[in-house]
Amino acid sequence: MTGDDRLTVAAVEQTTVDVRSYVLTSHRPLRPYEPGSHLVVGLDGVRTCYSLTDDGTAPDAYRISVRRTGRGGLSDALHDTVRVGGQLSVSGPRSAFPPVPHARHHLFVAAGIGITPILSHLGAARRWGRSCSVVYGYRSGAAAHLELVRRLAGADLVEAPGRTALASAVAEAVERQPVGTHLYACGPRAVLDLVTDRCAAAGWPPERVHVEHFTAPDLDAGAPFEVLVRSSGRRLPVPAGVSLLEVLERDGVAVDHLCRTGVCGRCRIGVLAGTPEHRDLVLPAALRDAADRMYPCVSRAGTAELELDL
Amino acid sequence: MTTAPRTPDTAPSYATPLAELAWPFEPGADTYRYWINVERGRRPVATAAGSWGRHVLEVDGGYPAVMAERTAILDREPRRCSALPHALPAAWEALEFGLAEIAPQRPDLFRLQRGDDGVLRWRNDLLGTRWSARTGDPLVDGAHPLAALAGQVQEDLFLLGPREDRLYVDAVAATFTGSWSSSFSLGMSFADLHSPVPRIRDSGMVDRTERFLLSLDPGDVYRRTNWSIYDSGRLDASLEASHRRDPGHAVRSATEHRYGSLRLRVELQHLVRLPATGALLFLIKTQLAAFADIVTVPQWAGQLRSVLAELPEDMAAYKGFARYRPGLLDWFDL
Repeated sequence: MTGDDRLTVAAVEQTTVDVRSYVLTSHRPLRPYEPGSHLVVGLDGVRTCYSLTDDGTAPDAYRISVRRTGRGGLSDALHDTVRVGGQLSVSGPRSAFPPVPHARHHLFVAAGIGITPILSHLGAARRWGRSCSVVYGYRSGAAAHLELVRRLAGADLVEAPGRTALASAVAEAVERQPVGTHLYACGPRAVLDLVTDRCAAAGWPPERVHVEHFTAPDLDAGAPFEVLVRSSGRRLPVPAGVSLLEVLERDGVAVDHLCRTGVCGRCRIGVLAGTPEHRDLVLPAALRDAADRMYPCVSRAGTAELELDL
Repeated sequence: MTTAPRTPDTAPSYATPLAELAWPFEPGADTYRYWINVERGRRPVATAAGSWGRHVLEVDGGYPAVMAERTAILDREPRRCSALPHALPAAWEALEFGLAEIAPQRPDLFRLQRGDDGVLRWRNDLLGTRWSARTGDPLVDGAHPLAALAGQVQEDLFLLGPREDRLYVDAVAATFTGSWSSSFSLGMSFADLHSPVPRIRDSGMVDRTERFLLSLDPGDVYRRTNWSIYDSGRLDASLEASHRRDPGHAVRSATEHRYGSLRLRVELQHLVRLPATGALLFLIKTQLAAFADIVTVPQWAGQLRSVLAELPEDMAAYKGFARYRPGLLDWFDL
């Protein structure tokens, strides 16, 4: 599926007090997807990424789980307006949090609604017989998909009710892993920081730690800079508080994009000269210094000018 | 010079029907250079003699002959298929993709069924193949799933897996590679795989190609062609089979002015981003056409002569005809 597609809401399930799961179907065959993939859902011009919860091998439906935030926004709008039989505009699935097939062991860490991509990974690990274990942190009584996680993970699950329990479960899991383990974590930023800090302290190579943010951080406005568009030779100023993607669009330069929050990786462009300041959540740790590419929806320039391969 | 006894070369000569040849030169162009000449797949292209490119894996008129040759090679040299252990899911995805691609092309020969019990059943009446398996089984009819696919299709198969933003050869099932060894390349990085090719190594093209491949969306299908000139119609021009060949043959062919028996060897390459595993399935369909046949198509004769005359010396050497280019060009002008 490329571009937007209309999917039918075949079922809505109240998974916990504030989480609803949506089963989306189509009259056309649904494309398989990598574990950890997300669907981009659009409603009234707003687009948000939601993790798909199945393993993706032969999907009969696309399933997402959405937590009501109470702050408005698309998630709350889905809860308020989407009913069985309705339609949703989606694009994807897109993969930005895939498993590493050659890992010797897979350690999954989920906090709260961050269980959604981890559930997908867990299902795939079971399907392919990959060695894995799960740490699931949740608030008591509000753990989405807990029964399914228990059934799939069995004895390989550590449940951590509350942030303190999660911190110690993560600390213990990180220190006990065999060489060659890859870790995958999804949850609020504080939990992801905790995981990456713990891994760093335990001497994990950053290439083996994979994190999926489900909320993009608020970014500062940044300093103004200039870009040179190679194909047209045009020089465009990028003011503070305005994204490079917006500047390019206003000048008529088409850049494929989806999330506008540095999460999905769709808007990647090539950089020919200058040094980008990466503010996205896509580039893996080993590539944070890469000067040949950037995600213009959030990233800016570390030099006064960038030359873009556009 | 070696005096060791040589296994006689009994490999049959193969000719792709001209109407199905993926003519590798742009219409109207009389020069050729390497470039990332990729385009989206599944679009038929008309040529001066027919058309090509409707399918990703294609069962063409040469299917029985090609499969007979392939089966003989795989029986003799099972190492032509090899895979790293973690490539099993991608190999299974490739198998299911490939069979679903060819099954509708010859409903008289092929039958692919997915039962309600989840069992996949395959039947190929031409080759007498019949098996059933479950997705994820380590062996399909006694073979690795990628080898099982190789036994049913004309294409050579390669699985490239992404690791830390680079591509590596995770599995191969190939019998018709041109002057390289697929089994030797298992586990290699994409960059190492291409380092012997003149002009592209230092041009940044390998790096750009790799980035292009890594940026493909799930399910994307792209294709390109490549070509070279060989002295025989043998499909298996691999290094694995080099001990079976007579190294003086090419020179003798040329010095004996048998230019009409030279072959244009075309590789129709497809790239598929497998959606469920993220692996890249790289397919090469090898096609062969004798110069004597090609020149029966007037547009092709003129274009091929122009391209061969203009090609720089290093590329002519890599393409296989630098040693006898003057005589070859004279032959075109007869």
